[in-house]
Amino acid sequence: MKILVIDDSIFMQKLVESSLEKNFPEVIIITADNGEDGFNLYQIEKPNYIVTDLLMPGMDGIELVHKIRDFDKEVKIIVITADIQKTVRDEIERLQVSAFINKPFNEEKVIQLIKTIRSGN
Amino acid sequence: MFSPIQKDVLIELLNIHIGQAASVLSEMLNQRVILTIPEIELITSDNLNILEFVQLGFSIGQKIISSIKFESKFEGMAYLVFPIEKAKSLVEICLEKVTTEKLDDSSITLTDLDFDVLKELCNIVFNSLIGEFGNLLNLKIRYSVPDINILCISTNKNYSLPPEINILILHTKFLLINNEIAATILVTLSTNSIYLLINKINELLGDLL
Repeated sequence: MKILVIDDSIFMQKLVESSLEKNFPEVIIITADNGEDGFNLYQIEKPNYIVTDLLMPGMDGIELVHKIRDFDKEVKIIVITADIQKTVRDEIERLQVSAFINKPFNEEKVIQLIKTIRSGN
Repeated sequence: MFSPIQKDVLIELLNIHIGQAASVLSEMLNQRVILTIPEIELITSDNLNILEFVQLGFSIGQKIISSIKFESKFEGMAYLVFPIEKAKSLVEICLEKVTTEKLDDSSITLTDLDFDVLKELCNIVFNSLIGEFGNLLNLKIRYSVPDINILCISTNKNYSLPPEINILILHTKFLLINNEIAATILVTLSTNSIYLLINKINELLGDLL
């Protein structure tokens, strides 16, 4: 399984990476710290899952998810964000994401991420 | 700009938002966070020197200052300011490190990772605070990527704010198990944003007005 993690915070990248590696020992993780690099890596690496933040410099996560969905209705996308606005959640969920998880990325949210991936959602 | 009852409602709303910020901080730091009820001031700047608020929270010394710009019909900037020695403690809690070293202002050095963690923490607090205004006003607020810096407050400097803006100042304390962190949150709002808030508050007050 290949998972692309996109977040401009190295701390967040490491947190997500660590939780994925603990639960999926065979996983291959690729990272990017902005939407544009994330989109390029998505095209090259064809990951099974994309785990992305929303607020990033340059191309933000909302634009990224829209752009990916223009190409690919099937790839599984999980959003992890500090944005608590209902309008944002509604917009993202309309793009058929697998999960919308609010930061901070604590134990409960790790479980939510892992369950989402395990369910193949 | 706000009548006494409108200010009451605004303070109540801010209390709720700050409470939610404490809740997310608690999740991030994995410990109970108690928040003191913030002292709230609403002022209109007119080349105001921020050192006038020294005794209320902006004490002399090095601070961490994080800021975020938000836009839509509700627009402005939010700043979170707290002492640099507390910053290191917060990072260590987030990274689950333990230190018994007592740190003072002069011995603090923050690494890139420290700033990254602090930026993430401040971003979460900002989203809790400002995002709730978006939910309240049923607007989608767009944010800039937050900024984080060290600010050195000294008696020699004059920290003027741009004129003709409205400022909410919240002085609050986050109480952790072994730590008390005095933080100041400033939110600057455009006049249109203030009117949006006033209209919403009037709607909430309904027949009470």
